[in-house]
Amino acid sequence: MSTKINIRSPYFLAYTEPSIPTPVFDCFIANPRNFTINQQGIITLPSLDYGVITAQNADKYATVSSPTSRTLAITIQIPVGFSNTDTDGFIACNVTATQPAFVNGTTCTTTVTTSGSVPAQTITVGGSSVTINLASYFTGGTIAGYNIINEHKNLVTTSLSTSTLTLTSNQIGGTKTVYAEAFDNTANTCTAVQSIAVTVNGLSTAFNCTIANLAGGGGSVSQAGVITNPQSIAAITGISLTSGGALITSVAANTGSTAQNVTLFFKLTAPAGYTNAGAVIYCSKVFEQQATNTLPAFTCDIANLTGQAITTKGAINVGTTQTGTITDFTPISFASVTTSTERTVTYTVLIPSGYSNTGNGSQTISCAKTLTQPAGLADCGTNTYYISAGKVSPTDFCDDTYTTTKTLLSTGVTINEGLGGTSCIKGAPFAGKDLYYAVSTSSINSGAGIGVGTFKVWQIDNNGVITDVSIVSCDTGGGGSVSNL
Amino acid sequence: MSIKTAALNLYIYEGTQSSYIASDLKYRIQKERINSDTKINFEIAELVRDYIDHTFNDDYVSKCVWVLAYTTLFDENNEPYTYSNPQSNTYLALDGYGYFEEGINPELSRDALISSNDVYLPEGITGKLPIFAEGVGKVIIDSTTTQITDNGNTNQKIQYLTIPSNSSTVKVYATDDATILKTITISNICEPKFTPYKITFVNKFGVYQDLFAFKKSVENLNVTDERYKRNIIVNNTTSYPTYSGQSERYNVNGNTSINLNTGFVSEDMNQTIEELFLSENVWIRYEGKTLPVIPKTKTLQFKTSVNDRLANYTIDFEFAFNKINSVR
Repeated sequence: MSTKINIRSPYFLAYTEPSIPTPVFDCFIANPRNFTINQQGIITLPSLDYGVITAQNADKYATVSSPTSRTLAITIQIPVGFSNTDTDGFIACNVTATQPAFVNGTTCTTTVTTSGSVPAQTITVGGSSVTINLASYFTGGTIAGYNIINEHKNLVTTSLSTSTLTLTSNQIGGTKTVYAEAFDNTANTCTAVQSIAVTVNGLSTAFNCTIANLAGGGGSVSQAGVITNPQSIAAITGISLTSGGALITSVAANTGSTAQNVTLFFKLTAPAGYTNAGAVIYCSKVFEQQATNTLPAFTCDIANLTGQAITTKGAINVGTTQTGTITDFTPISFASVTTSTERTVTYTVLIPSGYSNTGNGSQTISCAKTLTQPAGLADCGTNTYYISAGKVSPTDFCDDTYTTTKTLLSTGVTINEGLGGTSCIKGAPFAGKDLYYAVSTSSINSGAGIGVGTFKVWQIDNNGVITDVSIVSCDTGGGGSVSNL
Repeated sequence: MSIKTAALNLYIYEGTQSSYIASDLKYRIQKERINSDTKINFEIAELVRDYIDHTFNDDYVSKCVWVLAYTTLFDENNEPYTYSNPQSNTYLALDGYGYFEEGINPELSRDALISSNDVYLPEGITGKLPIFAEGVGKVIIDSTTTQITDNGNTNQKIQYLTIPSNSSTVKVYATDDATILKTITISNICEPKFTPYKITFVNKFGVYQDLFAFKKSVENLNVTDERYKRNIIVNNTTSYPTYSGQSERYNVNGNTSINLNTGFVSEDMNQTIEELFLSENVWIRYEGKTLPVIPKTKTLQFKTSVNDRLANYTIDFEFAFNKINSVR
């Protein structure tokens, strides 16, 4: 939608210091990386550039006999400073890694094994601790140490001293699993893993909707009626339109002309540790559901193309968008220019969902962007020559015989007419470092130096400009004579 | 770091929004911030207005242009900002205006581009309704629905819908096709005695609007000339012919003007009459031709049903050309 202006009255454009944009926090910005799974199926959560992982859909996978691709769904709390920090709160991202095969005797040799199982641990909330002697639960081999895998540090913290694991509760209740992995330093030996169920209880309060904090947990209802659950420390086991009502998975699409509020009741199970652990409570949250025509239209301003550029050769850097995906751009490239030149590139941006013009998901908009193409050199020319290695002085060629084998294009129609012309190698200006290069029209039966007779040299600067053309003749004694052309 | 300089490149062009080319760059302006200010302002309306030319020949062509303001901002070290820079904003410019009370940078209506809710047409004559295509989903004239489409080209941004003769109501809907934005009542006037004249003017929204003057019209000719005294004596006979004048006219020309009466119209038409008076471009459909005229009447007393009961406006127009063709 364009902005209409009326030009019989003044129209003012006002510019002020630009503010640093607050981008939409997404998985690309979070950049989860280094997600790994070991042979035992134990995951190492990915590290993030921004945000904090608050939940994942697995802590450990079963062992596999052949390498298996695993996709872990993680929930990331959006940090402050992004445009969707307050509106969404959390985003979901998937990370993928290949779980290596675990085949005893093939992929590793079993020395250490588990011995029984570690009993479930219950700790009182608020800093209480319990210790476990891990040596009692592993046997065989020579145990060199233990790794503790705890992806629930908000519930319980762990510390390890030799073989003594200390579990310390924090300020929330609940039940989660941590893992202890024993390893043998012998090469290619298998590790052994014990799971430890930890329950933190003893809270004096009952779990309620204030603690559930759905208000700060994000979530949404799309125009089409798709529900995205908010985050909570309690498990959401259902959704209804009334407290205790029939469970639903979606709501009706809003086909009206205005946005509407939709109140949803989330069925939560009070986590362990609270006085009402295991009880079902319903907590409501109001979502604004946009109508088709109240959805904002996706525009180039929303797309916010950044990072686009044109190189001196006219190649176009596609850049990125803040929202949407660039699927195409035109033209593909520009010719080199001798002066800085403004160019217009039209980018085709795929409209993401959630906009009035999203359509069936294949709709695009065209965003024109004016870019400045830096000045390059003039045309490289089409005349092919062959040059030698560079020398500081023309007579430096007279200490040996040199071949002219490096292909070079120049605007000089002849070698003698090369002065002031440009020279390029592989389409780019040849950075000649102000050295002299023997130049020939042939790479065979040509050359420079002793025994060649007279030969021609070009001095070429770093911009590929030929600054001197000379003819050289080498004496038998290692010296030479130079005549400028 | 504070802004120091803004370099504005102003592209003005027709076609689609992204169809500008290098030659559409019409102005380059660079401006530095005054130390005591925090903003750099550019007034672009006058610059853009040079590129809208009203050439109306009863053809109702969409007259608007795209304006791309491509501005590079520089900090106090004269280095361009590395974020949110350059800034590119595109506007669609129409030759309209806002009133003082409407404040700075008024956008005005984005649907029907006329102010009044009444249109007077002679019986059996079709009319034109200017609309802003982006903001209109459909128009229902009596029971006939017209869906409005907009391909993004400036030649479709302003559309002139034909109001069929003897229609009674026009309803303009928003793009949701459900919200009525404006309802216009069509009055079909039977005028058996006088010849109605169609006046077309560029209204407040910068589009062509028709106004019919139904009642008495009076045409006047105002002649201008210059004179000189000549010597008519015949030396050989020491006489002069009495059939030769001593005074001669030269540079004789004339201007035709026409006095029109709207006939009785509703109070709602005051706004339309006001816009006609404030228009820089007015034409009359006269003897089968579209001719430019200039409103001669400079004062307008608004008529109201309370004060005047019935409102008839008398307006003098001067044809915007000499009677004798002197175009060189």
